[in-house]
Amino acid sequence: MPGAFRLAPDSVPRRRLTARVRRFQGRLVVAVDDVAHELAESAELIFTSIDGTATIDEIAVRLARCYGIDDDVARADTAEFVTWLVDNHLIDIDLPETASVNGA
Amino acid sequence: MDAHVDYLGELTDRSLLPVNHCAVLLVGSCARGWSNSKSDYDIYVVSTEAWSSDTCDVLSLPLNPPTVLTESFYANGRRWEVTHWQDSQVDQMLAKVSWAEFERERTAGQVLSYKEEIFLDRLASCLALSGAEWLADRRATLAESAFRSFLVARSLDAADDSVEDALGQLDAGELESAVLAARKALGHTVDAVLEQHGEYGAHAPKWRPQRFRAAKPSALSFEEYWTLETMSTFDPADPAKWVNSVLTLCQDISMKVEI
Repeated sequence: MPGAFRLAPDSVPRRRLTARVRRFQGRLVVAVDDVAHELAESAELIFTSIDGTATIDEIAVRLARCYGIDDDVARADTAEFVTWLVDNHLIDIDLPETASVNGA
Repeated sequence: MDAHVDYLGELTDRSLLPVNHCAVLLVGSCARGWSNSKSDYDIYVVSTEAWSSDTCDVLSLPLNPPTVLTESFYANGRRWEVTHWQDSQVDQMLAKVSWAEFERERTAGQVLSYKEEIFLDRLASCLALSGAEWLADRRATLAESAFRSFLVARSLDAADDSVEDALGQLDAGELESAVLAARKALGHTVDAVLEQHGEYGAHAPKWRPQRFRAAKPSALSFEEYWTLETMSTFDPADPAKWVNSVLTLCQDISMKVEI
């Protein structure tokens, strides 16, 4: 079920090592199996900020500062894209103990 | 390059220098200044017409004409290997790595044979004993070609294969095989970084440290690279930790290397 989890600000996303990445003509392309996605600039910033230690909130703050947008907007955008990455098997989430799974 | 060696004189004395040659190139470790007392002198002679001798060896290549000729001998305490190419063959090799070809087929191994790839590798780093103008012209064509992108893409593809292999071996509990696969992934990834900086020669991993120092890549320091290459942080009690750290680094670097 897509997005069947609830992100917490202190959730830590980790890139899957099975995700293949290429930088071609300045754009980052990520792929799992035979499905490839070219990332927009802001999406690339989020993806490359995922290093297995940064929390969702820390990544959102980075996004907000880079683009000069409101923190809450950045949090929403980050959560939306991170959810998309999870649904497309490009990352995993280390859920904090306080996070709950949707429907649980 | 050994200043005391009369390369052109030696070739002339042995009748290995065609009158119609475009260039005579010292290639390989001697040209890079990396040679030792056991190193060969490798020389390419490029001519506008075919050259032959009664004692040469013939190498087959997917070119027209489909052969190049090599002559080997010992002089000045070293083994010499002189390979005769035709100018038209160089044209053909450069045409194989055009951007149009790159759009069609991105794997270097499928557009160039091993010997052809080494020729273009060495074209970028050789020394002209004769024909400096010819070399400058051909280097400019090589620089404008997709050769670099072909090699980077191939190394990254090979790295991906090794990463996938390592992860599969980890899942299966085959930790020793996972370590070896991770080492391969690292080698291919570092080669991609070096190729991005125009340091070719992935076919000879023994020169990787020298190529690394010459490239000075910002994506990875020499100290980081050498720590991994020599496995100095490897803990036999926890091989998976080392494997995962190497595979993570490979992915990090792949994000920085422009094809």
